[in-house]
Amino acid sequence: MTLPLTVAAFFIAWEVLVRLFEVKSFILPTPSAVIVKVFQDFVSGGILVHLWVTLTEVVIGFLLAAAAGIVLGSGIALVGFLNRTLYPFILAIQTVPKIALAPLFLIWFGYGIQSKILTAAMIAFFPILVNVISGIRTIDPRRILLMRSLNASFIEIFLKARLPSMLPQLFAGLEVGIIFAVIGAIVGEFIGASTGLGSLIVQRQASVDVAGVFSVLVYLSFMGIGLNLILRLLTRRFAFWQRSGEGK
Amino acid sequence: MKPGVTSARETSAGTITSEQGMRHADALIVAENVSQVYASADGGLIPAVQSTSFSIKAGEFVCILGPSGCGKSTLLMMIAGLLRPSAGHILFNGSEITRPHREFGMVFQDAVLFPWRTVQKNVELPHEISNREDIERAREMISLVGLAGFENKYPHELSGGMQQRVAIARALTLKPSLLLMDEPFVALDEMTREQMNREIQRISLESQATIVFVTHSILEAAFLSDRVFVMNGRPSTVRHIVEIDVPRPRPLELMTSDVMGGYVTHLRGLLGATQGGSARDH
Repeated sequence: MTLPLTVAAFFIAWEVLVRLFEVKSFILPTPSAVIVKVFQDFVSGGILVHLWVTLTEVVIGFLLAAAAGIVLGSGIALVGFLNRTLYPFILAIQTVPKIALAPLFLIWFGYGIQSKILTAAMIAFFPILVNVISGIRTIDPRRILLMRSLNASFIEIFLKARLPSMLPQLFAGLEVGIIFAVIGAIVGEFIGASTGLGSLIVQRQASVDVAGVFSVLVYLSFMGIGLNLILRLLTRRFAFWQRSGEGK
Repeated sequence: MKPGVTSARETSAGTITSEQGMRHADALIVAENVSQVYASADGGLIPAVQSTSFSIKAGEFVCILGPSGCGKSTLLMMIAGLLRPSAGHILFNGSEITRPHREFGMVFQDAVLFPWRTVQKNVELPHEISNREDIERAREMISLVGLAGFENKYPHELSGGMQQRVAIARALTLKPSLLLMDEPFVALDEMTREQMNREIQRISLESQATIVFVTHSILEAAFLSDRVFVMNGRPSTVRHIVEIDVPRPRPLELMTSDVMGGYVTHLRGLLGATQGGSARDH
């Protein structure tokens, strides 16, 4: 009950203060002006094209990151050779702020959608990878012992015990990953793009349409909420046991 | 002298081996001079089990009794084929155990159920791995352990005792001739444990499996077994074998009887004699 009240109070205070102190609309627009702009954007439909482009970049980038994170993470966690060769390399890369590589991706992969997909994938990859590695490594050793006592093969142990055991941690990584993918796509568009919500922000900022920028932020947050919701539903479907206490 | 004590035909494990040589024919499991050594952190070798020999007949209920850390679980892991002995060998039906056998069923201290699988699917797991799908058999086993109607529940919806029953059903579902249980009821509360002690007798008779049951509870060992293998000493070995000459299944009331009391006192004496009183009943 208190949350809707606080939110309402916040917007009312914003509206009142902006009007009271006559803040210029190119500095900070009123919430009502933002709402009008959000509505206009929706009616004209122009923003949906941008939304679609950004969503495509985020989803493809995220899926690439998830696939790479699961495969490489499993490999590093299970194969000693990969752990010794790849893991130090990956740890070293982790210290680089990966978003700073986005301009390079623009040079390598062009102004099209590919460079944004790869930027999104690159920064979404690491939280997923780290969670997969620790998810596989922290499996209850008794589960492995049980599988061995049943004469299960390496592949069977992986598919029937290790993979499902790590699902709660994998999904925790995916939730962070999807948010990072959005950041990656937007920053990629900031640097160089003609479509996408990130490029729309840059365009509107250039024409000092601050209400317009806020409108894009509203659409971005809707997208983020939607993606997060889908992941939560998937978590509930595939890692449901985590909610009611870990079974033994 | 209490009647229980006088009827206990105790033999030292060493003398048993020589006569086992002639009794191999009806023995399901034969262990000959089995040892296990662990490497310690500083590179030294720590003997966990030292030159142990025994044999177990088909259909027998054997408890391995000993204080915590005496290597009884290590011995069980070696019988299970999950751990190769450092020396000596263990035979199952005359052939050496080198890896887990499909005729073995295992129950651990904890149920080790997969939380993403229903009761039914957990019990079907061994069938899946051996590629012999048998939904009906799994259902029968669930009913054997008294959980009919719970097939579609998830482990977190069950109590600890019920979870352990599922683990027993899973261990029995491939019709093992040997059921290996590693302190299976140690995590359960006292009342559930007594109930499980009664149930495991029924299950052992109905499934006709040979059972090797590891415990550190003297009373549990005396109550359940045909024979108790007493492990202790340092390095540890099966030092005494005590026959419990009471027909199975045994009613729970027997636990507090003079006969049981006699066996318990006798076993406690055997544990204490070489262990300096460090063995306790729980």
